Amino acid sequence: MNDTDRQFLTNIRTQGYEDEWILLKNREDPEIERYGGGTSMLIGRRLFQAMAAYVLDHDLTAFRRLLRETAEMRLSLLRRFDLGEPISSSLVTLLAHRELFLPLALGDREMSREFAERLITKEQLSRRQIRPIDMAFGMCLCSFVVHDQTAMEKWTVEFANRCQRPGGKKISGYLDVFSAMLEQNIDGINQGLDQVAKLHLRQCTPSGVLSVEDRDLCVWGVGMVNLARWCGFPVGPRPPLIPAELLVSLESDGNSQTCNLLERI
Amino acid sequence: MAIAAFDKSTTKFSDGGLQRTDIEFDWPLLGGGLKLSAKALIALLRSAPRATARRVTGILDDTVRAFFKDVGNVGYRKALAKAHGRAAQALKDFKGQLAEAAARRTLERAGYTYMPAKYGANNGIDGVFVKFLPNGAVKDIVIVESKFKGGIPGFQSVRVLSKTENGHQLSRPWFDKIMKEIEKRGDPASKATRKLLLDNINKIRLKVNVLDPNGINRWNRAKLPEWID
Repeated sequence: MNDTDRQFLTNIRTQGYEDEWILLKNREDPEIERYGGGTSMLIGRRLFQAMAAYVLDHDLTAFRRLLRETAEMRLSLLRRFDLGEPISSSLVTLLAHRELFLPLALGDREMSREFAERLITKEQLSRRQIRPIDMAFGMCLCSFVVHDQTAMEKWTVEFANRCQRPGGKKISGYLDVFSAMLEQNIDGINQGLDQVAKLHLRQCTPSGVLSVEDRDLCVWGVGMVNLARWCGFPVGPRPPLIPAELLVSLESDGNSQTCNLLERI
Repeated sequence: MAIAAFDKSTTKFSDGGLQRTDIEFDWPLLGGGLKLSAKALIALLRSAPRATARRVTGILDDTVRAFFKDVGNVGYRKALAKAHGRAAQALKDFKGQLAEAAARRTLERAGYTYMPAKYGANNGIDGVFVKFLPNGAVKDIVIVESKFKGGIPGFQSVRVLSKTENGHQLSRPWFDKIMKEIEKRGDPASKATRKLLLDNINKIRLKVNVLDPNGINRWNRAKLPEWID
């Protein structure tokens, strides 16, 4: 990250602290929060703060704490919606798969699983509201997290179809990883992750999904590597975008075979 | 913003802005698609942001110049195709601005104040209109998405609104993303609008206006995304 971007992010973070009280007030207002509006606004702010904590201060503790807070807020909206609260349906569509990458990046398997299970049930609701490519990406990711073989195959094909259309190129790296995981092809996964890292900057545009604070760290990529490791594939980091310090250790999975493979690599 | 008076004898606005003849000259190049009556067009141009109209005519001028330059390099056909592409984009921008101007005209007449909420190259919310009470407090906020459509649907249709990377236009995630980007890249006026919106979020209402090529502006043709209620 160059000095201009660093200064820019520092300024935005400082400005953010000044009007944070408005967001907190909105979240505590029962009328606004009834539909999830207060939480929704705070999610964006906390995610920004998490990224800024990593790229500006390299504060891993704050980064993890804020990332968890963000993921928990989105998960709370999903839970409340499932309980029948009048949460705006646009807040619980499969677009939330972007926040599913957060528990994956944190290495929290339990939270990732609950997140994915709740998202999968929003297929019909999402179909009306989001682009087919986002829907396919979201369903594909969720099916890999819950490890549903039939859904994994079905949605990988659908995702592949969608990626061939305009706008699909920049997320084609994720498709490569999913396809290679289905084929149990470790080289394919590695190539896919290289592609994820290579195309990451293309997503960090003002009109894109990610933004300037994401340029130095690919949280989605970290999530993908962790997911691949949970599935038993000994894939390595891609520094600086996918740093080793954020990845789950292969030992934590208790899979000695994959650990040995990684050592050989 | 003060609206400049239009002088019929010189076909110019009093502030020396857009000339009607410039626009008319360029229409045949664009291949039609805009059939507004002269009266409707003049009315809309008067309320359109002057800078935008200048930008559009600027793009058209550049297109013509680039065309003559390209003819020598890449040949007539390729140069013409390139010019058509640029002109089509300029026309698209122009139509969008006309629709936004139609919304602005209606709401300002109803006592609302326009507040900018844009960032980058004309990204953001088409129109944020606020009605203030005499004591300065906010009474009502209307967020407007403006569309220019050849065929206005006869019934409410969600298809009037595009699906973006952040969900439907006017949906909650779309709004959140715009607020986030304005915070980062908006000008001071847009940042002030953002603060006002966040502070009065429960007073926001959503509207979509659809302008057709005959100058008819409808407010009831888009099915709005679920947001607050």
